[in-house]
Amino acid sequence: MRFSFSGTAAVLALSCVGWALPTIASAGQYSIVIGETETSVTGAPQKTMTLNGQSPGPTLRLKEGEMAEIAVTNTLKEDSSIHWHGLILPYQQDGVPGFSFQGIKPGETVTYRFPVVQSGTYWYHSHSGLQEQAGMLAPIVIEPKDPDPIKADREAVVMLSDFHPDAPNDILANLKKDSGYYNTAARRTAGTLIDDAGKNGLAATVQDRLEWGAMRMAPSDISDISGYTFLINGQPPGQPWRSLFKPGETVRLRFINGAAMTYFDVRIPGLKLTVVAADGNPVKPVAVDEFRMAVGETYDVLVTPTEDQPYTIFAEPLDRSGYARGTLTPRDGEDGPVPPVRPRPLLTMTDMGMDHGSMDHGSGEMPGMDHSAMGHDMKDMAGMDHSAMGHDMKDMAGMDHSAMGHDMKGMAGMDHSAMGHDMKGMAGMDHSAMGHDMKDMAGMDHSAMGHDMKDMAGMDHSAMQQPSSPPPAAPGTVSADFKASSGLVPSAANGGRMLQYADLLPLTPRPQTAPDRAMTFRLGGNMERYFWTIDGEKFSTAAPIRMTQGERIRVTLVNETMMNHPIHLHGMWFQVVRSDGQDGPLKHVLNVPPGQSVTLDILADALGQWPFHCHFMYHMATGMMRRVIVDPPASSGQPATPDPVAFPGDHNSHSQHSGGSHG
Amino acid sequence: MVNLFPRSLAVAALLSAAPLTAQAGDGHDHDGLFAKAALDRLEWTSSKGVAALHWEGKASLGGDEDKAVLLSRGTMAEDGDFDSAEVQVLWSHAISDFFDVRTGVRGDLAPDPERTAWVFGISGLAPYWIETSASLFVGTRGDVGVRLEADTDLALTTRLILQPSLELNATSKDDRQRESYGGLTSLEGGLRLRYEVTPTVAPYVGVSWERALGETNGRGDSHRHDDETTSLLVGLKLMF
Repeated sequence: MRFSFSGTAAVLALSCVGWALPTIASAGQYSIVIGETETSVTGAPQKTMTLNGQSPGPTLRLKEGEMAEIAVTNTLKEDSSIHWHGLILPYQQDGVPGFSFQGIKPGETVTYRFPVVQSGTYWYHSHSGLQEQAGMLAPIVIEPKDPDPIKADREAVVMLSDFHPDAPNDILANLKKDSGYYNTAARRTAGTLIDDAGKNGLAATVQDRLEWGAMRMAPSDISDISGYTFLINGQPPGQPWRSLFKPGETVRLRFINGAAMTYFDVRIPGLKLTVVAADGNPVKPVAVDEFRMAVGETYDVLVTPTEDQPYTIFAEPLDRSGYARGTLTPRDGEDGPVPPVRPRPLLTMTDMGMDHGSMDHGSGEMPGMDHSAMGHDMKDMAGMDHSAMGHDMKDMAGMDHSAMGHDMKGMAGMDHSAMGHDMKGMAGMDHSAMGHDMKDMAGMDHSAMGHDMKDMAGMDHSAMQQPSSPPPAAPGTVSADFKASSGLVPSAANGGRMLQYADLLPLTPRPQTAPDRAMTFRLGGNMERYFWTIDGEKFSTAAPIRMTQGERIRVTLVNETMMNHPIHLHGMWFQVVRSDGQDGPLKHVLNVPPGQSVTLDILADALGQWPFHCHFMYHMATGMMRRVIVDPPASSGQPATPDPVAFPGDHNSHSQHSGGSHG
Repeated sequence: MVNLFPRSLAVAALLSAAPLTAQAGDGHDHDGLFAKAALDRLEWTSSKGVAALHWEGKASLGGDEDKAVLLSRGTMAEDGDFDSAEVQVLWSHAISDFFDVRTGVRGDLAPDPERTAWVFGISGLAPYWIETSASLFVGTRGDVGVRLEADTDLALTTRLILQPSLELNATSKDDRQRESYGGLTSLEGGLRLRYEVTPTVAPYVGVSWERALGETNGRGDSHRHDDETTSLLVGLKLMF
């Protein structure tokens, strides 16, 4: 074995400023030991599951083109496993008990062996029980075979995670006892009632309380679990992880959201963040002020700090219940200022999938337009009157009617005549952009409309002011971006630009050919009993989803819940579907915002059986998962995979696990 | 009156032992059994100088759809005798996102004589966050009883919760030995203000008001039944 992660190396790496291990590996042999230790992240000693003695584990540095042989030894008293998140590999090597193999028994060493066919930032974690939440997670960095298109003077991994003082199994048991167990701090109280009544009037406030009460839901219910401490590379905000830079250097930060239940809004006050890769795959550089990370996603970001001062990496969870914090600093021991945490957002009826009322209302002036969406883009305008807005639209002149008419043919259930009439008067409209978004209106994509408004020239500027964010990189939209009327719509803390999925354009696009067929899945759940479903079924009762190798399947995920769901597919890529027809980026996790429908392509190119699940740990654990079985095409003459699929037998499995000793 | 202390101990043991049998789900591919036990009310009440200990608890063991449920409630007088002690052993089945139907057996162990009834009920969270339960009791004497319960939590702060509650009881047949007469028998209201030290431990103070109704009001040698009783109470809400 030419390289192994040793505990000593890990400790050395931790004690240095920075966390990335030096790239020593030139061969493909690695070893990982799964263990358990006591840590004191939050003061009190906690049982933590470790990889090579640390949590998160050491960065596994692979090389594109090599055959990786990774011996994993389980020293726990329970079964364990390692899954390589985002890696394209034979399904038997994917590391999911019940899918790929039978797990790693206590005392056993299993050697995974797979060709490394990609490069970029990924991660690995346990796929057994709730062990990932207990600390079994670590980064993967894969060096590309060809020269890296992403140039930087130095790099560091920034792995975000959430640490809870309660043991993961206790958390799950508590959620089952009382789904509000961890959500008491989000209660709407007499205090918030009085505040809201003062702000919005008593009648509106009572109406609001009744609407939410009728559904037995709370708009403050952003996350299922509170009480987390948020970590960067295992370190809490009080002892921030630090990484050194020299002013003027370009630093590549490999962000990984390894949290069990937490989305983060990430920023580095004072620095522009140039996003250069998403989920391991390079994208055309896009400069933003802030970006949101769903659970399981990775983003590579370039920053060029020029000042001789520390900068704070600041990551707020979506419910704003705290923050993770790290530091980029020219000198060890220095930290930047800590910004205040923004207030907890409140969900809207859009997040409940119930914004039809406002949709209908909008159709008077402009069919399909969501006034609240417009409200967002113009949020800096005090006292904006929506009806006045509608009036401005009508008065715009110079629109290319023929183009409009053409694009509108695709709109489902729209009133064309009304549309034409209202838009007659529009001035200086950006025709191409308009046309694009109109096509999308078949799906009633409100956020698309919202975008478009920003791009319209010749609007009544006295009323409009300047939109706070610059126009998006591309005119297309992506259904996985939050509708502008969502209570969770991301906005940059400095009023600048927030990354959207629509901003992600692949550096080397994979042609997005026409899908072979379409599938729809409903993401559901029962908040009261605390379980989560796909098409109304929990994993324990659901039949597998069958796909045929080589198919491109256009999947629509309809989120019928009020929670986000970071949907993840093992072993195969999602290709994001863009409204403008440009080739979407490849991803392994895509967020499905509450109450929204998201369309993506699954490239079903890998035989075998693969988990398809929500990457929220406790959503997966309580049912939001399916088994995807990819069969060989009928023309291949190969038999279809039986249902349920047998595991690779012990014999077969052992032959794969060369180099492993089986305890 | 029989001292039911040993029997109540057994009930308490059942209530608290249930969580020990819990098997938390194992990540995925598991639709595990979960256990819950709660003493929603363990309270010392005082009315006109007469003190008593009142409890209401439940325990359950099962999955998301089907559960075994144990309900218990009762009142112990100062002298250690039980004014009332009731146990229900039920099978609970989910019929909607928020509601379960329940069926099983109810035993009234005190006061003497003991009574047994079949239970058919529905229980769940109604719109506007109102916990509701309606039960039909078909007794071995051929009597039919009804109990309707509702309560809700009003959060004054994130930890200080005011819980109004209401309960209505009715029965079809006189039960002279138990000083209960056909028709509406009692209406109870309560107002409890609890402080959630943790989600599992919440001490409270409150007031409860009970009125005997119909024939039950003013009949018998009412040494227990005043027409109307208002009690002050101090209690503890616990979840295991």
